[in-house]
Amino acid sequence: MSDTLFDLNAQIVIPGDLLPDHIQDNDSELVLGPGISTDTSSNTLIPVNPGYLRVQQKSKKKKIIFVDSPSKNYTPNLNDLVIGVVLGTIGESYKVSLSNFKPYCLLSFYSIENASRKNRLNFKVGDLVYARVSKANVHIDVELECLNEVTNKSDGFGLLDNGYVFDTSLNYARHLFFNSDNSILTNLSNRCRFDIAIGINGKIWIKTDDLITTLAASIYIQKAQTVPEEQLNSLLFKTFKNYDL
Amino acid sequence: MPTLDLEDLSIPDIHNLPPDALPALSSSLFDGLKFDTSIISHCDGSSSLTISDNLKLICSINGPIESSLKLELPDKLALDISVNSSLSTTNNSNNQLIENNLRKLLIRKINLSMYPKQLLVINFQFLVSPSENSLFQKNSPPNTPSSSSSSSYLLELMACINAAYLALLDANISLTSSFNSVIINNNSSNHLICYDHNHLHTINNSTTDHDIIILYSESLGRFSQSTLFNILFNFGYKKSLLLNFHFASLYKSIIKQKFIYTDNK
Repeated sequence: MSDTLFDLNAQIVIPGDLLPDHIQDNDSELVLGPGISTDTSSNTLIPVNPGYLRVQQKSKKKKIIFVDSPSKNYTPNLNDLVIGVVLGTIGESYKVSLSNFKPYCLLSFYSIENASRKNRLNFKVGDLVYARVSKANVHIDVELECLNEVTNKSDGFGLLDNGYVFDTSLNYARHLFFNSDNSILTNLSNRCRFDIAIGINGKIWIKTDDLITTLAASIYIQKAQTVPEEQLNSLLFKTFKNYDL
Repeated sequence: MPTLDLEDLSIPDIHNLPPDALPALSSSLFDGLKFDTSIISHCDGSSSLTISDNLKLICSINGPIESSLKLELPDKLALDISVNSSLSTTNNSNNQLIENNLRKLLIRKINLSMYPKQLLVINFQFLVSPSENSLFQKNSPPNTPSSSSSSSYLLELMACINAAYLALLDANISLTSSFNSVIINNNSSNHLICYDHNHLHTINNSTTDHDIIILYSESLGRFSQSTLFNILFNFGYKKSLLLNFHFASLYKSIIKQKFIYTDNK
């Protein structure tokens, strides 16, 4: 059992495994996250996806349990921060694609800061937007917003201008997003200045001062998902050296 | 017949074995079985399965994706399964039979209600299959079915079930439990059995407290009822349990590789 999000010593489960007894104690309320479901026949909890079993003790009486699984296919969830590609317009919304071959999401013309009927931001086809999933019901179209739900300000959401976007695995994107002190981005920040937007849908947008550095930084981030932590520095050095940087 | 088919099953009683002995036993039993996952980068999930040099199969999964209106189901996931032979001359009715049996199995094991109105495309491509090998055997008379064609059908179905399970894990599709299929050869008959493993404690290699259910069984040849029951509840059960451990331990090592970047704090 792990109390932290990114514990490599956590147990790995596959669908149908028996969960440890101490997870299902009656003392605390359990909140089921992705990858955990109830088996109606035996009235017990079972993992339904393979991956690391994560347990977070939120308070004395509340426990969150989920399976951190490797996946390439993104399913939108409420409040996910995502990077989408504008495909066109339909009615008073933009059609935005979060991943290939999946139904498009809707981004209303008016869910952008200061947008009104007379004053609205025009996105072109192919533009990248950083947005928050505001409605995610499996039976209806997913809706996005480029607004902070508390302040109603853009707060970094909106058009991602210039830069370069690339795809990574979903678990890697989650790791970079939630683990703020990860050494991958810390090492890169020692080498160059950059703006980065990480989408939970496995898309990462990066922008630096010049194109060559942007390319080198993007390749370093992509390669860093297949090397252990102790080799990160040498990977960064080699990648930038390949671009004469 | 490939290594998986154990003519002389001398598997010890699994429940009395020490936990450390299980992985070694399962890897020695399934030495001829090789598999790999994530072999096709542009698919959501893929797997390859090789049984000695007799059978090679690739399975690819795309989905859940947007479904066409024709296939769409309002409250659950639709499955589009296709099995392709390596040679176009091979009998397509065999593939159709495999597709139908696979559909029957997979709709019971996938949590279909998790993905309403969506589609899961599952493709199987045989690179080497025993039924096609037999077409080119010199001694077999032309235009007559090979003597081993029926048993090769069981072998192909078994490979498809196991490859589908691995590809579904790779695609991260929600499953109700683990499953696999094994073939048991008797003197005069061949038996394919697909087992469902639920509440199995693979975390510490312990085999206590688990439910095992027979999902599907198909037998060819002459056999008695007692032989069939012995195979279903003894030999097949033990072999399937070991195969499940084999898959679980190898897939867990794959997951560790996919999370290699994770900080060990």
